[in-house]
Amino acid sequence: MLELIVSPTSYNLVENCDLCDAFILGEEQYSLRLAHYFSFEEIVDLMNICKNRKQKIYIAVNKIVHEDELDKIDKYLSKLSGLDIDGIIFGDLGVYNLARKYNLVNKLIYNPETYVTNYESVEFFAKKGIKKVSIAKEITLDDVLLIGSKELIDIDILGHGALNMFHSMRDLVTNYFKFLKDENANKYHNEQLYLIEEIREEKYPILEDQNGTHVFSEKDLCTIKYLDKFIENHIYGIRIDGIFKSDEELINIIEIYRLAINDYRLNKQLYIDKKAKYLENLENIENIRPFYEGFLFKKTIYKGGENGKN
Amino acid sequence: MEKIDGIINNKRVIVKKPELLAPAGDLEKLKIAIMYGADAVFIGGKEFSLRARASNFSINDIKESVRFAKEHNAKVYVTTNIIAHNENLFHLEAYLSDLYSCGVDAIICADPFIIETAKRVVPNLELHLSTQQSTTNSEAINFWFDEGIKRVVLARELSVDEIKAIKSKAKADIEVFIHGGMCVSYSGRCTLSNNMTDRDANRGGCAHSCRWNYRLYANDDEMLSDKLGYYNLSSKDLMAIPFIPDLIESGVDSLKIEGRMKSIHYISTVVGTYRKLIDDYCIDPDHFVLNNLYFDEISKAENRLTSVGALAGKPTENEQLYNVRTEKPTQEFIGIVKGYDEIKQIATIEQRNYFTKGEKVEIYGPGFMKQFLTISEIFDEEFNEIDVARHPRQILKIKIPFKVYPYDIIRKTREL
Ligand code: SF4
Repeated sequence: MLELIVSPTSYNLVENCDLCDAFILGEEQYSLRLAHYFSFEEIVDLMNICKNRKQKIYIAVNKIVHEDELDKIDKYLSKLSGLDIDGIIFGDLGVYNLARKYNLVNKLIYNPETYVTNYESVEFFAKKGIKKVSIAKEITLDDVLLIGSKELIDIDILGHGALNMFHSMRDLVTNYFKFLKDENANKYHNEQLYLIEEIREEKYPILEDQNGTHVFSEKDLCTIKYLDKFIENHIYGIRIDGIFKSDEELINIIEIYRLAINDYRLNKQLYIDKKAKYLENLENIENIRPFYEGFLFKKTIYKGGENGKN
Repeated sequence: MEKIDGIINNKRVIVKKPELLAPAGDLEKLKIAIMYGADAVFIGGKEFSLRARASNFSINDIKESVRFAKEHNAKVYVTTNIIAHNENLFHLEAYLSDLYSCGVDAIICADPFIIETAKRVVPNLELHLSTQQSTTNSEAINFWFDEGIKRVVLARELSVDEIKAIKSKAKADIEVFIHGGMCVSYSGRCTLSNNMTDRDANRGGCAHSCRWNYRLYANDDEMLSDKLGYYNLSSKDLMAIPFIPDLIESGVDSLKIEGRMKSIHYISTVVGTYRKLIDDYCIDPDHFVLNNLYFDEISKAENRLTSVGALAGKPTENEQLYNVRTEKPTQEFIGIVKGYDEIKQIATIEQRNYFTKGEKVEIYGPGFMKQFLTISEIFDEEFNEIDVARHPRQILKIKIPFKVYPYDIIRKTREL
């Protein structure tokens, strides 16, 4: 029944939250865009706590791997192979190749963010013997459900959180201030800034970190109204992403999704009747980032094809 | 390991010359690219391609492209590099069969659906992995090699040292971008356009949102970009001339120029320059001097600011493009030679831009041939003398006292 997966905001949150089914934990040198990075020791500690509560641990090794980092990733996978983890999230297929050495393929969860957008592609990765595939957030609800309904492999998707929409290897904030000859060019490294495009109003968070620069959507994707559809179409899990949230905001969001899933489990009609209530509760969370339906009902334009429009 | 160099007549020469791969937006550009020295061209068909919108290549055109290319010992690759959505999963088989029967040398793809379908339907068609997959390490390359990929186009985020290290471990052939526009994000991982305009960047719709003007704010709403007025994410175009020797020595298999939307002036100049550079280096690498000639020549066709991208290491502010209006005008392209009457010393040309009698022009052709001339007489097709060539694509006759050839290009000499 729809796994509730959380990318947490702090050690404390993981230590104290037994509402979700799984956590995504990662170290800064191996992963990308996590709300909080942990040390290896912290991961081991939290694993023990979570195991006792029957919560799963997925380790994020989702960075884009450059050649000179292969050794480091190799060693990390070897280290992970000694732990009782439930999955390894990766986005670079080099990691798949390295994982073969340590018999970790059946733990792999492929999440390349933008690349898995059709069921044939899902089937390709299913045949590779991995555990799960995370499908892109840039496709419509109908497409998500169609992919799920094929039951090719366990699928998860972003349930609630910001859409990352841009990743450059470059230090695009520091570079800008260097261009301006600003003495404190590095001042904003690791700080959350935001961008507004000339003729638009949205505020896009922009964040420069050791992996380059990331830009995110102004609003969080929110899927609370579609959990029944996910469940009925064999979507295996949803991820709640803590990025740009405080512990408290995140906990509140997790509680509402937990309640919604439990309600469905008790009685589907109860869940349906309460949809408006869940939304209201989300809206009432103090300081919550605004949320929307992302691409669920926004079909992007395909420029190809004989009759490609526009 | 393949041999890259050898000794001939006591002199080191490069025996493994990398392929020079050029873009072609239509049949004319394809012919120009090949005539000016491309070993291979890549084109986008009308389906499954990121440039489908701009494509002029019907299946018949592709057939003609292959015919022309074969005649000149060149190869044709077709891009089928979209990341497909469920609705795009149909009609691929027939399309791939058509491409195969046209005789194309390879397809460039990014989506496993397209790769798997090609393996099943056209098992003998060579597969190249598009840069859309942003491949940055040899293990990922070898993953794809085991899936039947013959060649991988590397991500544009790599330095020359990284490329060398990758090349020494990769099982697949390696293709590297050397020239043209580039994404500032890891390719295939940018959905700015999807989010801001509903146009899917991974299905040919990128609106170049990275080049737009933004304002940058601190979290407390303090505006940080007021000094310049705006903030941009975008990158200067790539221009890898200084690194061509290193890339050749690394043994990479193909050097790729980007720009299927570019003019024949651009294609002929850029291809011609890299052709000359590669040939000059390979014939005598130990005495090769990277002089200004190459830089000067390429700048005639280039109006966007260029940089070496990530080839020298992580890009700095010097590789960024801020919307300061610094575009240099290109040298104006005024016509292309269609034929030459040696007895009358009259060239037939097709007009491409306004010019007049008395114009000082440069005529250049394949093989880096250049000659200069002041236009003395212009006639229309019926040999009526005219003073001004103002009709686009009009066929004209001009007096040229030396021999010129079809595909030679005429441009105004730059006013200094
Ligand atoms: S917006 Fe810029 S970085 Fe993004 S896909 Fe388009 S060109 Fe590339």
